Amino acid sequence: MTLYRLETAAASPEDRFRAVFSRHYEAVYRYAARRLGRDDAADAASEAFTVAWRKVQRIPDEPGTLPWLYAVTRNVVSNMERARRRRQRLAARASTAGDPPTMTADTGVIAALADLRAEDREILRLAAWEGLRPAEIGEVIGCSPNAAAIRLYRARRRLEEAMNETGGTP
Amino acid sequence: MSRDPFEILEEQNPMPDDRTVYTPMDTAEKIMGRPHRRPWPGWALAGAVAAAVLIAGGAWLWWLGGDGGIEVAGSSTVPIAPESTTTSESGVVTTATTAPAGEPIDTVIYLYLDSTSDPEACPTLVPVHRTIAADAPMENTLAALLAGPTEDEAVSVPALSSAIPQGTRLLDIVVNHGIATIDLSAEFLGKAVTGYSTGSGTLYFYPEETARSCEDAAGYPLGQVVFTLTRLPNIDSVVFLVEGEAAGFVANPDLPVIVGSPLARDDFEYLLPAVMIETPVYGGSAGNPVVVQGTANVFEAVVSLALVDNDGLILWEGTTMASCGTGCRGDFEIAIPYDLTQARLGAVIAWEASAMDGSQTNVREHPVWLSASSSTDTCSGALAGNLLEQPDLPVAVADMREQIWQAAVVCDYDSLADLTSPDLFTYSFGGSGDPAAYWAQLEADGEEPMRFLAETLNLSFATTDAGDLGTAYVWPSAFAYPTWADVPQADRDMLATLYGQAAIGDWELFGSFIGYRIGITEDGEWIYYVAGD
Repeated sequence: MTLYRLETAAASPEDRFRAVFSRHYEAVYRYAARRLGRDDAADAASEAFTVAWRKVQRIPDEPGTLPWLYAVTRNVVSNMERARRRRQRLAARASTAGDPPTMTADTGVIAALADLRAEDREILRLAAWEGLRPAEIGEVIGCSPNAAAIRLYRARRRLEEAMNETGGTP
Repeated sequence: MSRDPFEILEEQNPMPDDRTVYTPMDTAEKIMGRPHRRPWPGWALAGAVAAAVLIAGGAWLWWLGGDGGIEVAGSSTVPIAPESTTTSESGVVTTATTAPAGEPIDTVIYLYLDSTSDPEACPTLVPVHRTIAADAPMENTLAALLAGPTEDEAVSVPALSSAIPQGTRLLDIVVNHGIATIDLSAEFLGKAVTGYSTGSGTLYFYPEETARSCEDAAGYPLGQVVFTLTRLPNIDSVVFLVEGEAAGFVANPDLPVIVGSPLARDDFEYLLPAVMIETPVYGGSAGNPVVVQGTANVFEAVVSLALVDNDGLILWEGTTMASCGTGCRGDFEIAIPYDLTQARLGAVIAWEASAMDGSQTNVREHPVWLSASSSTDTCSGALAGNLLEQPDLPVAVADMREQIWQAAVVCDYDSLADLTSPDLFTYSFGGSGDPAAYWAQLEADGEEPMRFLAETLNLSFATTDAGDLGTAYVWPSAFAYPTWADVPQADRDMLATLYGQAAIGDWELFGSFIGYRIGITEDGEWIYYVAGD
C-alpha cells in the first residue's frame, strides 16, 4: 500500500522542498496577501520560496518551518513594500493607488495600526492574523520568546492608545 | 472603549484562513529550475506513437470509451462493434479484441492521485492511460492495473499510487451478464486480516492501520478494480474471489458483511474527488475539440474548467453544469474546442469555484496530449504528393517554392504569411487583411486552399513579364496562355485531375484559366496565390 507519502530523513533536497512548499504555500501566500494584497501575494510567495530553495539545507524541521518561512517572507514583503513606495513617489499623482488593497477598509483599528511603528505593526499582525504564539513570533522577528511576549504586550497597548488618538470607535 | 482593539484586529483579517488557496506545485518545480515532474515521458511517447499511427492511416481503434464506446484518437466516441463480445454456450460473455494480436491498444486503469492543494487529504481515484497488447484486453488491462504506477508517476507531483498490494496476481476472471467475477491471489489481502471464517470459507478485508484517517481504507484496492473493470464494455459490477474463495470486506468488523454480492461504482463514491474527470484520461490523448466528461459534486452544480498548454497558457476557460450539485453527484460533459497549430502536451483542469471567494478548490488536473486544431488536423495540404523536382528554376525561385510547399502541406499559415512579399502579395480579389486568416477560414470551410497550393506547385510552370519586378515564374503554366484554347492538352489533363472535369468546362466557357495560380519573381519574391477572375 503506497497511499501515503511520508517524509523521511533521507529525503532529497527536492523532495524536502516539495513537501515544505506543499504544506506551507497557503500560509505564506496568506501572509503576503494580508500585507500586500492578493495581486502581489503570489509573486511574494514565489520569491519567498525561491529564497527557501536556495537555503533548503537550512530550513528548520517542523514545527519551526513555518515561522522560518514567515521570516523569509517578511523580508520579501518589506522589499516589495519599499519598491511599491518608490513607485508611489514616482507616481505621486496617482494618490489613490497608494494603499495596499487589503488596507483600504478604513476602519478605526486598521487606521490605528497604520500609525504604529513597523515592528509593532508586524508583531500585532503576526499574532492577530497569522495566529502565532509569542515563541513563534520571536522566531519570525528574531528575538527570544520572552522578548516577543513583552513586545506584543506593548504593541497591544500602543494600538489601544492609537485607537483613542485617531478617535476610532470599535 | 468597550472592546479590545486586538480582538477587532483579529476580525479584520484581510485573508482569513478559511479561504482556500490553491498551491501551485508547478511553481515549486520552476523554482528548483526543473520542469514540473509529471509522468510525461512514457505516456507522451505513447501518445505520439498513437497519433503517428493514426496519421499514417492506421485503422485500429482506440479501444476504450467512457460508457461503452471506443475512442478514436483525435475524434469522438464511436459505438463498440457488437462483434467485440462473444457468448459461449454456457452464456459466459468474454470480451474479444477487434485489433490484431500484438498491436498495442489504449486502455484505462484507475490509480490514486494525491491532492495538489491539501497534503492531508486522502488520495482519490483517477483514470490513467495505459497501452497494452490487444490480444486479451481485459486481462492485459488488469495486468496493467496490478502493476501499479510507473516509476515516473510514483514520484511526480502530485503522485499517483496504487492501493493494490504488490505481487497480487490475477488467477481468473469470468464475465457473466455484466458481472465480472475476479479471482486474485492472496497478496491482494495485503495486511488485511485474513483467515477469518464464517464457516463458509469467506475471507474478509479489515481496514489497515493507516497514517491518517482515510475513510474505509479497506475499500481502496477494491475501488480500483471495480472502476477499472466497469470501464470495460459489458461489465457493470464485480464479485471478488481470493484464491478461489468468496471475499467480502468490511470497513468495520461491527458492520454487516455482504459476501459474494457484486460491487459497483456506486459503492465507492467516497473514493472520488469532488470533481472527477473520466475523459480525457490522465496521461491520455485529447481530441480537438476535447470532450471533457466526468462527475462532480460541487456547489450549485457549477464545474469550472480550463485547458492549458505545457507552458501554462490558457487555451480555454469556462464552466459547465453537472446534472446535480450541492450535495449530490451529477454528470457533466462539455466539448471544448481549442486552437493549436501542432499537437503538444497540456492539461485539462477542472475545479469547484469556492462559494466564498471564487478561488479554486477541489482542483483536478489531468495532463493530456493535446491535438492540433481541427483545421490543422485535417490540413488539406497533407493530401498533396511529394514536391517534384523542377531543375530549371533559378535558385531563389526554387527556394521559395520549396518553402511554400513545406508550409502548405502542414497548413502553417503563419509561415506562409511570412513568406509573402509585403505590399505586393495578392491572395484574394476584394479581400484585405491577413492572408493567414483568409486561408485558415477557407480550410475551415473545406475549400482546401493548402492542397491546391501544394499541388499547383507540382504542375508545370511558365514565365511571364512582371514589369518592374522582372520575370515572374507562375504555376500552372496554363495561366500564362492568353486563352484557354491555347492551353496544351497535357496541361488540361493535369488540371482535370486536380480540379475535376466540371472546372475544365467552366474555363473553356470563360475563355481562360482562372483557377489557383502562384507567382514568384525571379528574385524569389512570392507575389500571388490567388484564384478567380
